[in-house]
Amino acid sequence: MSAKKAYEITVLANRCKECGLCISICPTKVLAVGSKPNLKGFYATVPKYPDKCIGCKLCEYICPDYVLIVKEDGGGKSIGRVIWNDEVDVYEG
Amino acid sequence: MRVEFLTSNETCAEGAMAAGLNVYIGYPITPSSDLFEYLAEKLPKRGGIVYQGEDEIASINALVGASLAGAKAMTATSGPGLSLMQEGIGLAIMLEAPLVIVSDMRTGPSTGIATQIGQGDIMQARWGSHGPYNLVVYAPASAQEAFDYTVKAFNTAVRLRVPVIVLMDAILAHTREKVVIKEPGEIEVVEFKKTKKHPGEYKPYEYDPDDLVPPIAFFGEGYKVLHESLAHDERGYYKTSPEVYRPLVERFIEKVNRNRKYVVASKDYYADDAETLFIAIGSVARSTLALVRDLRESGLKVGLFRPISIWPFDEDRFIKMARRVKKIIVAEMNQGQLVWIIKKILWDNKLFNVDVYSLPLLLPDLPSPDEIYDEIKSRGWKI
Amino acid sequence: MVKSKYSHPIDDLLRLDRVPYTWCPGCGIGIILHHTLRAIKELESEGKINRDKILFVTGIGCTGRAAGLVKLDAAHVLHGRAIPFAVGAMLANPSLIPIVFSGDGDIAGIGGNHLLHAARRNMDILVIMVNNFTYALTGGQLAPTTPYKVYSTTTPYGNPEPPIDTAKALMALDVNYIARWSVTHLTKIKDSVKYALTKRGFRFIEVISVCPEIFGRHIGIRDPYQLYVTLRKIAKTRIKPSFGDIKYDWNSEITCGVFVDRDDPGYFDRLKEIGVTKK
Repeated sequence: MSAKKAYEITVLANRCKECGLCISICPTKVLAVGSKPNLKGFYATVPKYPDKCIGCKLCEYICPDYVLIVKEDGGGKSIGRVIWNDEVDVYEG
Repeated sequence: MRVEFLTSNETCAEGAMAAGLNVYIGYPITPSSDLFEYLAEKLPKRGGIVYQGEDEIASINALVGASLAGAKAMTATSGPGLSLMQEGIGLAIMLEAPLVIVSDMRTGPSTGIATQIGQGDIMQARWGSHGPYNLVVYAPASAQEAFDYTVKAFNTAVRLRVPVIVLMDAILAHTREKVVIKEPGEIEVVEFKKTKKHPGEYKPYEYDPDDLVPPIAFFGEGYKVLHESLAHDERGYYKTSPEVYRPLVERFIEKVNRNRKYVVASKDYYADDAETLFIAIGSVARSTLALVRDLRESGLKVGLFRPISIWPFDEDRFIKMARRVKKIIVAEMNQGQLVWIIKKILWDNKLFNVDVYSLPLLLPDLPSPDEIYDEIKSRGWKI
Repeated sequence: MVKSKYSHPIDDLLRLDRVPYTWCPGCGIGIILHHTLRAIKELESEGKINRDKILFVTGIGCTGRAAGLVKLDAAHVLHGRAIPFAVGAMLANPSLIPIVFSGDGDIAGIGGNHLLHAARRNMDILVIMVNNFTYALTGGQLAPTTPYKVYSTTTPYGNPEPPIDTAKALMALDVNYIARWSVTHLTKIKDSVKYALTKRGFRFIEVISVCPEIFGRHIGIRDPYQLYVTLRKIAKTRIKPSFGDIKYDWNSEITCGVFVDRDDPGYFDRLKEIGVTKK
């Protein structure tokens, strides 16, 4: 059995408008509404369960605001990052 | 330089080509269609492009696009077409697109009488679009002036990044006269003021403080130009605050005013000792001039002031003459449009003791000198 | 700054100082623009397009705001007049690649005459019409594309008019490419725009969009994802549909797919044929 591929899910938090399209379209329910408001007052999406990511990129393609980037990350574990102005929140597992 | 025998439509086209016209986009309308047709034959041979839009609205919008892509662009129309183009003229103002629009005025209102003269576009040429703005309007009165002032119209448009309207009329359009056609090397041709900045630092509406005109970068040169019809800042970003809006529109107005010395033009005849001054433009001025000559022969001290730039008006020269006269008669083939400009100038200069008479020649064809005189007599005015 | 290490692949085509942009959360325009820009990026990486020659022209409306976001030569012009503006610019400089990106009211309503004639001439431009069935920016008035009987602010008792199926109507003219997709087709939009940009002549891509704030609210579906899923059910893709197969009915099917794909000479080719050209 081949090792599962790892993905890197990046969320540019200050661009998110909390429309919810990415959260709803994800087939494996990786994403969820975050608990931190961004500069515009929206609760940016967070990649809560990066392990479940299958790299389909539907979230990246459906986002109207250039918030999500999904990349293959070689072997190892999938990782999610939420990028704020001065910090990065990391999500694993 | 060559001597020809041409109509004003033809000399206007020749002047445009001498000034560097390379894109003509128009729609046929009497009495300017033959200007379009003349260029449709001649311009492609010089490497230019001639295109018939589906209507005047398509034409004016295409012209704005063409000029911002680097073309010296022009169209010719008449009253009804100029009315249709007003929104597009507003776009040219906001985007600071250099354009020349010729209107061969005809009898109005509405469809009116397509083949006969009118002078009803004077106000429309300046105020037809909405909002605060400024532009330049020339009114040549002969085939030679049609050539000379079309060249000047292009130069003014390019220099100030503003639409310039050339008002002729149905009679000038088709009256053949002796003219001297100059070649491009024999006349001043103003070229676009290109930006000296790099693409990263270029801002499409950042202007030079001396003439208030922004240096231009055309589409397709790698400058990522943003042209915006909403009120905008120097980057072309939509802004609604007074700090951005007021300087923008004030600059549109000042752009022409500050450069008026380059723009204004007028002529006067027998005005030095005149007690009554006639004011007229275009073909009406020619008929009026003949009347003035007749009246002079019978000893009356009359003169004629003929504005060639209507907007902005040659105020300085006019006021000098106006101070000396007792009466002003504004003869025009409309219900009174030029007369409003005259009254405002006199009022602004506190010349309250000149009697201003509006002579609205609401006729479907050009009155002869005698007919103009009858109009004056029938109103009981004394000259 | 931390964030400069992380950027979106499309970032170099955006005026980042204007992100996040003005559109409502969940608006389909952002998605359609995203895939349009992806198409440009992919063509560029294949050496098939020079982004300096692209001229992005928009009219008035929500979709029209796109010109202010893209980092390309762009113009936000008068309502309905994006097509003639783009044509005029291209006549002045035939090396320009105009992309008209505007809304259904702007292109098929007030701009209808210009659409008709650009198509008739097989003019060498690409027109992408974002169709959200309403005049959204001004508050939700009737559009020529609004479905029959649906509420609009200017037809509060219901729309009494049949809408126009714009993509289908253009099939009557000699154009080189007509396709309709919906925002739910995601990367198929990118593929279609990419292919269209390699062709000459008149290319028209209608993309059915979602407008949760206005149209969605008028039909009782305000949630962006619910509206998306509703549209996905109606937007049925057909391979090489015939004219009679194509439907435009919000209640049953809005046919999507490629309706026309030819390679007839475009406007500049025909100018050459006549023997009058600057190119």
